[in-house]
Amino acid sequence: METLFTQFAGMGLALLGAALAAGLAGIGSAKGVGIVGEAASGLVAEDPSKFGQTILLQALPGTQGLYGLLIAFLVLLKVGLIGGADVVVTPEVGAYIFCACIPIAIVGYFSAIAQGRAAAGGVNIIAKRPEELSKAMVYAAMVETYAVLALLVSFLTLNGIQL
Amino acid sequence: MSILAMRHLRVIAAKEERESLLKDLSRLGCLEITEASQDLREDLPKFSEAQVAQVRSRLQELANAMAVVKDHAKVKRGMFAEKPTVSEAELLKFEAVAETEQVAARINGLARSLQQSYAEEGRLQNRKEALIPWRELDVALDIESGKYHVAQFGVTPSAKPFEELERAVLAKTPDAVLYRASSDSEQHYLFLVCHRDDYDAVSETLREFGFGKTQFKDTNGTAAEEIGKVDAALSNLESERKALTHEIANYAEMLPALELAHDVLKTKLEQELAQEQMLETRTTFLLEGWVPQPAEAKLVKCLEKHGCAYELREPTDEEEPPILTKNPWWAAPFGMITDMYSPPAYRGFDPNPFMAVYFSLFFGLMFSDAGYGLLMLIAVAFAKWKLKPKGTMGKVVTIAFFCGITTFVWGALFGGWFGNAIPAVYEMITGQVYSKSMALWFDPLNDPMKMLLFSFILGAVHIFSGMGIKAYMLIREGKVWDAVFDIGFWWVFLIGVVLTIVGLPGGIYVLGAGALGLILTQGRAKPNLFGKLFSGVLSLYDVTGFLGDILSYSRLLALSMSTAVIAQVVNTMGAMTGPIGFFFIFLIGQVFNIAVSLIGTFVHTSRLQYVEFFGKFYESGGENFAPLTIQSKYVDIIKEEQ
Repeated sequence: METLFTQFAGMGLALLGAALAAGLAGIGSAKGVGIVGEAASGLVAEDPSKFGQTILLQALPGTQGLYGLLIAFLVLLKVGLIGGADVVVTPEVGAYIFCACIPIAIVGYFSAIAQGRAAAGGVNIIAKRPEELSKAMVYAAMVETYAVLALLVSFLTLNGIQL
Repeated sequence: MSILAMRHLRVIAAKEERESLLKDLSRLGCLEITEASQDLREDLPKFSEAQVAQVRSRLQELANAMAVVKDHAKVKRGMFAEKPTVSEAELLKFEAVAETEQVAARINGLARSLQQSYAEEGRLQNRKEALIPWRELDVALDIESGKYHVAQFGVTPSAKPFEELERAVLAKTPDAVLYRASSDSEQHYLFLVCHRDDYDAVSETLREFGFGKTQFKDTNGTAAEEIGKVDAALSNLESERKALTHEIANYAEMLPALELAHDVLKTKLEQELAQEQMLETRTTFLLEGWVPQPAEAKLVKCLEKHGCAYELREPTDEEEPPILTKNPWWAAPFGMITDMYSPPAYRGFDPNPFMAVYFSLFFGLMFSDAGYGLLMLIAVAFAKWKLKPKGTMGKVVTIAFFCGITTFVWGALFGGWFGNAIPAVYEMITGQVYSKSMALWFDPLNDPMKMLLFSFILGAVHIFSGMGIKAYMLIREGKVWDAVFDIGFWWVFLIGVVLTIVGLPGGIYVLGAGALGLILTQGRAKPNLFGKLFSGVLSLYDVTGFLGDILSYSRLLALSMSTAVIAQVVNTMGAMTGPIGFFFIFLIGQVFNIAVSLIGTFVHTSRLQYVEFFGKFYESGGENFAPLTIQSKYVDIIKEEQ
């Protein structure tokens, strides 16, 4: 374990965290957006005028990927890869940063997929009652709450880590 | 600030007054005609002269014609073109549209010919394709077998080579002649001539090779000649279609007339639909409906002018009158957002003024970028100037105006001008770190805890005002004690919780007093003492619900941060590539951020209203007031003074 730490070093851990945050949340969003896209294609094939409404729904599960990117970006800023701040990342700090990335990485992944499903269900609402778009959006937004909470925890943790 | 009181109206009038009365009612636009009461419906027959289906099909004709003209005529209309203005009287001249309808019928006729022409083209293309394999064959396709010989066209699968087939046939019947017109990947196209006596033997051999007969209909001449004829017909069709399209395009200038006629018929359709609800006797008709109290006087005047017998009364408790809310100009548009959830119940509470304040407040807080706010305000100003928006569009513009202001203000307070664009540009040009804070108040990215706390405080205010509305509703119903028990004690308790957390010395006593009040009162519906106390204690568990509600407002921080950081990512990336790269990346990235953040902000602001705020007091389920009016989708109406 000791050798692993010294070899891997703090910077590596921090970057692994950033990679997971952007990567996992991004994969989740890709899946979620894909699910909505599939559902929406079926509807738009029947009625192309619904494109504008479905695109709104499809955008919703995309936010988790952005949250992941956001945390990854803040990590890169923190360790000085962007902005060029001169800092030394000790193994402990690296581990802390890694931990800070975990909530948005994991919750982002799963919530994006779940939100994709909810939004795909919302496509059915648009098919039958296009005027109720906002209700479909609120259903999907309920899922996103937890990604928002995870983002907050990741952000607050990252913000609290002293270099 | 309120849901307007509705009065129930019942009218009996002579049939000859019907047309002019309905037109006047459409003009006034203050009566929603509903189905007549049950007891009357049992005694009187339905009004028999409603022509809903007929008017619908006339509307369909017009809509088709409009679509055809738009498809073919390339109607140039500026994005910001103003609608023509038309007087009310013009929109109520139902007979005057007949001429326009004839034009529509002509246009639809042309469109049908055009469609037939396309169908014919398809048929000809198929025929041509079927003929092409036979083109090389110099034999008339309508050649007939004679007394002594058989002439036949046919195909065999091209899996076996033609030479093999020919050899097999000639081996048995050397006199037969087999021509090959052509071959493709699937079939050989063949022509056979043989003596009638040989025919049985030949066809047996052919059968082994999977021969199928081909017959040509309506042909005289060789395949090449036939193809020539088809080509001529095709080019004929083409020029015919050109003429048709040209003729349709000539109707482009009729489009405004068609659209006006569509609005006129739409108004008529509304009246026909209303008539479907009416009852009749031999010489009179009866209608019932709802009228908002403020409009009562002018409606009565109109009814008396037409010599109607009428009766106005308050709604009974079982009836659910339609909803019409009356609000000042700044609050009314936000009714749109309330209606997306559901209009309020008739005996509920009109939340729109609160909606206006909180929606724009939270929207601004989440979008929170002074630059984006400015852009919104510029867009609003442009829309006001160019589009002169009315109706739904007008509401959206007003909402955008207030949200733009709050976005600008919060953005300036938190120091977001297109994210950190100003420091980023400064650093890119001078190479030095821009150290001054842009924020007028504080930067949430540097002090997130402060922002989080601020979000919770706003959340608490939001939720407390929701509870306050609930208390008001209870008091209005005369349930003062319920208001004290269910809202007042909770307020005391929750304030106590906050004070205790903050660490003020008296907090615990406030908390205790609130808790005691709740324990003593929340079980008051239960029959025995134990049940009362047990339910009372259990009710304290609801505090977790409040906790969840408050925590939900952390999204204010998360989303404002998300807007700011994505903008920052864009700016940082741009700054790495130098001034020219910065310009493009900034432009594309900021547009992207605006689009994504706008959706997120709208959704989450709505959610806070619908779930956290409405959850505390809102009684939904009303139907919006839908009076008989003059319809105008394509024109603007000039109001006439009555």
